[in-house]
Amino acid sequence: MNKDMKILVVDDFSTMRRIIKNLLRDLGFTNIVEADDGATALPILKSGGVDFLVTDWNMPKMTGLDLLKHVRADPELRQIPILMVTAEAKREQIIAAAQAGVNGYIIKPFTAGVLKEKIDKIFERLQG
Amino acid sequence: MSDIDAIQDQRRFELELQTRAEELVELLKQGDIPQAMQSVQQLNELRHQALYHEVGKLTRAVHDAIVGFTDDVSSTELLQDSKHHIASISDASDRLSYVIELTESNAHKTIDQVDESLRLVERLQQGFLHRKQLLEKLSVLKSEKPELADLHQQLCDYAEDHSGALVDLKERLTSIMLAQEYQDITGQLIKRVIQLVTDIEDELVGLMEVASRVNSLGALSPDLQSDSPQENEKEKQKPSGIEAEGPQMAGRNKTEVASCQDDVDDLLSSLGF
Repeated sequence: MNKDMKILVVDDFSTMRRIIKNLLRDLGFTNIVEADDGATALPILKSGGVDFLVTDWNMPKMTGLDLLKHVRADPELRQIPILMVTAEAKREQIIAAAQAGVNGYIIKPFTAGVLKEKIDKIFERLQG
Repeated sequence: MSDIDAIQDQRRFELELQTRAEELVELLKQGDIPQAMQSVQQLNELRHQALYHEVGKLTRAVHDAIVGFTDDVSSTELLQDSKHHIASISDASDRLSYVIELTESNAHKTIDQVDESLRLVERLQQGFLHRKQLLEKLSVLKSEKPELADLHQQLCDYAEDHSGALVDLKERLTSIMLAQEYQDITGQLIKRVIQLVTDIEDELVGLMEVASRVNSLGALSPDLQSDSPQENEKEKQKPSGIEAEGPQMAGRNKTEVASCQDDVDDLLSSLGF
């Protein structure tokens, strides 16, 4: 896994963006950009260079699920691995995210260990 | 309005209907059609009156509930008074928004401190590297002067102790930072409550407007205009029904909710992920 890859963290709560950013930095990832919802994340994704997307679900304007669908529908972006970090924990929601093509799903509250494990797993699969 | 009063009202209404209906039948038997039509008209009015009366009672109950919410029962004019008190519900939304703001800024302050502390830990860890180099120099000297062996060993133990504590400290600081995620979760829950409060507020304003039109038609009987203490006591307890929703969180529908990360993982692997 390339530690220099560019990671986009999308969450409407600045506290959570900061926590995820710090945890990622702790794992050795330093190339991190932020967006506060799907609508602001899309232009960043379209401008190119993002290697990995970490997104919340419940956000104003555009939700994480809609963002996920947009990315998967865009031929330029569809390859980007996506990890969802969200408080949405209903079975039907997790299934919906899986069907939309999410690569990993973490429910809040979560631990640093879970974040590392899911990221490792996503990139192992992509390389395998 | 007590239940007994309500039953009596209902009974009166039924008796009235019965009497008028008998009169109507009698008139029809006599072939007095104009008079019979007038009787039908009266029956219809009676029905409207009963309906207005019910809406009026509901309005009064809602009004008292809103007034009871703020413990202020001095105002008298129905609509203005209610609108004023409904405004205090908006104030409740503002307060909740302020809770989000306050917890967010304090979570950031905590993370600021954690960031700074982690930088200090890093500096101490770098100091540890420097110390290790010094110990290596001492180790060279040790071979020349055997009396330094004990001192060298003591310093090594001390350094090892420190480096373990620094790793532990770093983990704990990371846990403190991670614990601030409560702000995201409480914030989301509070946002939902704010939405609920705002919706209720809009509906109440609408209801009070309808009710005030009914009220202006004189549907509220004089005895309902006065605030009886017993009635207020009962209404005051109503708003607390909203607060009682809180504890349900712990017992949300278990079958619908994946309660931990393991459940999520199981579910995803069952879907071939």
